[in-house]
Amino acid sequence: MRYEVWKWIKLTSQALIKINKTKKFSPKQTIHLAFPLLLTCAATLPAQSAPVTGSWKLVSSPNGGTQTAGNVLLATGRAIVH
Amino acid sequence: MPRAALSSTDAWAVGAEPNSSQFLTAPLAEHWDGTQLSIIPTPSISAPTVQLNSITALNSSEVWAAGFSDNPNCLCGQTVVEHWNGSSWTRLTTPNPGVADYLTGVTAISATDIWAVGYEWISNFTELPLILHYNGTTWKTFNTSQLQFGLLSSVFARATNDVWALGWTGLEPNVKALALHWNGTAWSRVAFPTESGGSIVLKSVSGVATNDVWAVGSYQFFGLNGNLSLSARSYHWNGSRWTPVTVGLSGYSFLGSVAAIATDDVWAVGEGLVFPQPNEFQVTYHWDGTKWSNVTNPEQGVLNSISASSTSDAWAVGDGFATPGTYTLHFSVP
Repeated sequence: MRYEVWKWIKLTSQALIKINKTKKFSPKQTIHLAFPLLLTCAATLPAQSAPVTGSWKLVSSPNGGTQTAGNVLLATGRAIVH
Repeated sequence: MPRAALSSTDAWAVGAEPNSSQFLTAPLAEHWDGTQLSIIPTPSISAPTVQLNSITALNSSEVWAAGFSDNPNCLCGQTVVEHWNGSSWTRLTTPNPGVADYLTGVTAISATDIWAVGYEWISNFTELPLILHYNGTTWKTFNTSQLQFGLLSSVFARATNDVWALGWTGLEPNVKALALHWNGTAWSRVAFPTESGGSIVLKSVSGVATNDVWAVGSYQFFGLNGNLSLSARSYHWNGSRWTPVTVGLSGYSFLGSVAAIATDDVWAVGEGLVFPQPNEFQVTYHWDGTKWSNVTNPEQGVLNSISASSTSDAWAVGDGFATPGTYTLHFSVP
């Protein structure tokens, strides 16, 4: 099962997960139920282009460019001068 | 408020990596030195599940990351805050006021003024927002019991007397957005827009001035088939109230992170499901002062976080859809 789908469900409904632990809550069951909605809720995203100078580029992963399955990056940070 | 990058050679990303199975994780920290990303070791924590959810930096030797450790076989989550001193990560001793405690966000104004937020699990049907403050020596825990049930997902500090913590409160089907503001003396709840038939879940907050703050998240509702669906939302604080701002994403979508650089320069990332190719996920949205527009990125995946230090320097991280594993995107101007 896709890890990122599980992660999102986990982050947004961890409260329910905790509550249902005592009711033998199954993460796999949740994923099983949730994944089809990704397919059924599809709708048109308007094609848009932005007047932004610059572009996004993919940066190679630490292991030389090959991504490591299962890894997830949840946050990124830069210094902010107050 | 002036904002600047530490340098173009110093950026961080944190998250988790598998630890014997995909549901058991160890902390992951990556550093950009201007040339490449490297995995930087973090302190060993004796728990089956550890992940870092948030990171903030003052300079190259003052960086904090926050998350939690947990064990799937018990209700025993523990807060985790780690500090980078320029050469290594060290875990700080942090409060755990609940039965289980989790941190989702951290922000630093100075080395003696740091906020971390998340939630504490008390018992069934009782989960409280968790607010911690670090003065450089000790942590203080704030009482949020009046909220009865809630979770904080993000914190942003513009100044010592101007801090926002956002998330949601209530039990389904009555979940509502939760916006808390610190004025230097006390936390107070601030009114937030609602939508009928569903819930507003806030995921991230960022701003450039007292009267210029952004929040993003999603409107969650149950469709006719009974499945939960999400629709991306953004909101702007003008100094007196929060107002919805149209994102332009339809279908299944959410915004999970926002980074404001200037009034006319704001980034937001998340996930959008494009029809008829449901595998396409490209959500790097930019606010130009008038509207949100999608700026195409070269990868397919779910973007979890974005940080931006200038108009020509932004980073976004997430996990790939077409290609499993982490991926990192850098926005730059030639």
